[in-house]
Formats: sequence, C-alpha cells, structure tokens
Amino acid sequence: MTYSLEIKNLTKTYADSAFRLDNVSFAIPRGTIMGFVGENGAGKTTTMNAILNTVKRDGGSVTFFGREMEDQDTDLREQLGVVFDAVNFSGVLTPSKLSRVMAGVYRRWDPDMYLSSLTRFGIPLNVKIKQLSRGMTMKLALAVALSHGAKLLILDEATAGLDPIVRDEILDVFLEFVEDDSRSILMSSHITSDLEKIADYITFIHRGKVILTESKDKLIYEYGIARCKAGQFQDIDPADRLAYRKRDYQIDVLVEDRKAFERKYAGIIVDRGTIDEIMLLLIKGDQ
Amino acid sequence: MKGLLINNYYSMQDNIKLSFGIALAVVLIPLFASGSKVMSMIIAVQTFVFASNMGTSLQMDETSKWNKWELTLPVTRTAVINAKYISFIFLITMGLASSLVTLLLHGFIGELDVNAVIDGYLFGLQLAITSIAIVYPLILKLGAEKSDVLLLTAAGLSIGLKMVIWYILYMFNNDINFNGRTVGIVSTLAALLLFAVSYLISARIQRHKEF
Repeated sequence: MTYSLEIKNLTKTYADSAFRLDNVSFAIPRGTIMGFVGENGAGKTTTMNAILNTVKRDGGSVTFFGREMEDQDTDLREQLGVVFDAVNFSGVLTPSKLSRVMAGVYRRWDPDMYLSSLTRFGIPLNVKIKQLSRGMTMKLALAVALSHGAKLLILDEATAGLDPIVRDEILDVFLEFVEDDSRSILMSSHITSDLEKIADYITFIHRGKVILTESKDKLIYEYGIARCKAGQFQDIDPADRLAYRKRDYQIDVLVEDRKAFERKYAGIIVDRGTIDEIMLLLIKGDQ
Repeated sequence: MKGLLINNYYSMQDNIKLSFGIALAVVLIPLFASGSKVMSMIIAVQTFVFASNMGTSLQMDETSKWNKWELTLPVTRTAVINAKYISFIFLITMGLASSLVTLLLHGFIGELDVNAVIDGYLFGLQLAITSIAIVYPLILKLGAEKSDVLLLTAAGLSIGLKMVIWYILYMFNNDINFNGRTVGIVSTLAALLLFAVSYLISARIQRHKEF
C-alpha cells in the first residue's frame, strides 16, 4: 500500500504548557480520506501544525509521498492544499485578486478551475474577503486548495461553524476529489457525522496520543457497543472489551467484533455505534 | 515569491492610497508657512508617511492568519522575509516618488532650495528606513497587535539614533550641526546598515518562528 502521508512517533512539547504530542503515528493510504477526531485540546491542530512545519516538531518523522518535507522542499508543498480554521487570506483581497496572488505562487495554478469552483460555490469575484461570510471564506479556501493540482488536502476544522447545506456541498467536493486514486484528504473535525459520511479511516486522538486508527466501515459495521447490566459486565473477559462506561442503569462496553461478542455472550444486546459514541467511550470510558 | 509581493501590495493598497492622500495634503502647507525648512520637512514627511502605514496591513495579515497559511505555500520562510523587505523598499520608493510633487510645486514658484531638498530626503529616508528596520523584527517576534505603538517608538528611536550620531561626530568636530549634511548622510548610512541587520534578524526569527 502506498501512502500520501505517513506520520511516525511525532512528538511536540511547549515550554509554557503541560500539553505534549506523544508519539503520534498514523498513515493515509492514497485515494482515501482520513478523519482526525478528538476533543478540544486533544492535539489535532498541533499535529497538523507539526505535519506542515508551522511549528517545529521535537521528534518523529513526517513523510509526504515518501519524502520528508523541509522548508526548501517547495515542490512537495505544490502538492498540498491546506485549509485552516481561519480566514486564511488578507481581508482586503478579493477572490479575483487572490487568483493573481496564487498564480504567482503555484506553478500549476489553474485559473479556470478556480473560477469554476467559485461559480460552483456561489462566491462573488470582486467582493473583499472580509465581507464574505464564514461559509463563503471556507469555500474560498477550498477553491484555492483545489485549483493547483494538489494531491493531498489537509483540512483543519474546515466544516466547523457551517450550516448543514454548505457542509453537505463541501463533503461532496471532498468525495469527488478522492475519486482520483492518487489523491487523499486528512480532515480534522468535531462533526463526526461528516466523517461518517465521507471518511475511509478515522484516527482518534486524546490528550496528545493516538488511541485508535481504524477503517470507518469496521468501526460502524464490526465494532459494537454492548449494553450490559452490572452482573453481565462482571462476566466479560477484559480482553474482549476495548473500553467501558458506567451509565445510570447499564454499562456500555465497546467491543471490536460485535458478532463474535454476541456469540460468546448470549443475552447481551450489542448495538452498532456511531463515531460519536465510539469516541465518547474511547475518551471518557475506562479500559 | 512574485505571488507574495503581489499579496503584500494588495494588503497595503488601502494604506498606500491613504498615504498618497496625506502626502498630497502636506503639499498645501506652504500656503500657510513658507521657507526652505518647511519644504525640507514636507519632503521628509512625504518620504516617511508610506512606511508609517505598514502596521495596519501587517495587523490584517496576522488577524486572518495569512502569516501561518503562507508557510504551507510552495515558498521558503526566507522568501517570505525577502518579499516583506522588498515591499518595504517599494513603500519607501513610493514616498520618494510622492515627494516629487513638492519639488515640482516649489520649482514652479521658483523657491526650490536644493540643499533643503537634500536634507529633507536624508531625514525622511533615515526616519523611514530606521523605523521599518526596528519595527518589523519586533512585530515578527511580538505580534502586530501593538504595531502602531511600536512604530511611534521606532520613529522616536530613529531621531535618538540621529542624536547619538551627531554627538559622536561632535566629539571629533565642534562645527558639526545636528541638522547639517554630515549628520544627515551618516544617519542615513547608519539606517541602511540597520535595515540590513534588521533583515538578517527577521530572517532568523522567521526560520525559528512557530505559528
């Protein structure tokens, strides 16, 4: 399997904070979308910053298309499209002027593709960026990311704060992007329902540590959440549970193989879990 | 780097327009006060005013997080700094160009004092170059939020630098005048040196800066 992005043992500490990225490792196969989820402050943005060299990493390796990216490796950055959870561009620019800026930056800048993305997203050409809504600004950033032949999109909370209609439009664009098997997306999001729709893999991060990377289909169709009474819980072999959480009248247990668990523990109901429920159990549950 | 230069120009465009407005407005001062000292001061103001407006566009870039985002572009960190300093030189050149109006006006009414013109340019250049040289590395290190205060302080420091240079020269020659040509030339040369040092410091800060 070839990977667009491979992160191995990434570490990062800050002098004025107790937070640290602790040996973060995961990889994104070509042609896939990786969802990157975790609570606020879990380390998603720090990981992305360390991947993109906007902060210096303390250790570990990050390879894009098999190569480490140093500051001088501008050819690698030609292949990246990045959207941060911010305006990203100077507010006094218009989308039209932005195209002239990007034409002077990217060798493969495609003004026609950019124009067609702007039209598709309904973004006016000659309005100052500071006058655009947040949704429009994010779509503008996406139009830029899609218009220079990028092979990997890195999106930090790109759909946060957007209404469901705009989000749905954007998710469709992401799916179209990875129709070409050489392209991939790393997308952090709080909105796990978005990731359920489009992601191929999900990486969970908690307190700076990756706690699970798994195929989304496996999470939804093979993993399960057993709803146990206290007595039933006592009978479960600890090796058969990934995490558990005590609730008012039952204990939810995250299991890796729902069907095998049902066969082994007759009488315990095992539901399919949503990404949200699985994340809650992994993060707030005990092991 | 071409794209970065275009971006810097667009970011500064509104300020350039405002600066042109101020530069043209001060041309009217001779209607109320005349003399070669006034003309000299007008030229200095016109040369400096473009540089004095750089803070607003830097603030805007910081608010939008462009400074962070541009690092994901296919440009090196050094290219970012190169583009900034080329843009500053462009700003100072705009200031020099706008002051031509004053020369034309005074030439037209026959009151063009060449010595006052040279002194005005030397003072304006020294003020503009020193201010930028001091402020930009500080903004890079501390953030653009207080850029206006920093710029005022830097303008004060650049006058302080001129005083220090005058004092040093005065120790060797009692005839040296604070407003004289020698102090003007040495101060401007010192400003150019400071600009070069400022570039090196900014490039170093940028290489290690985390966004």
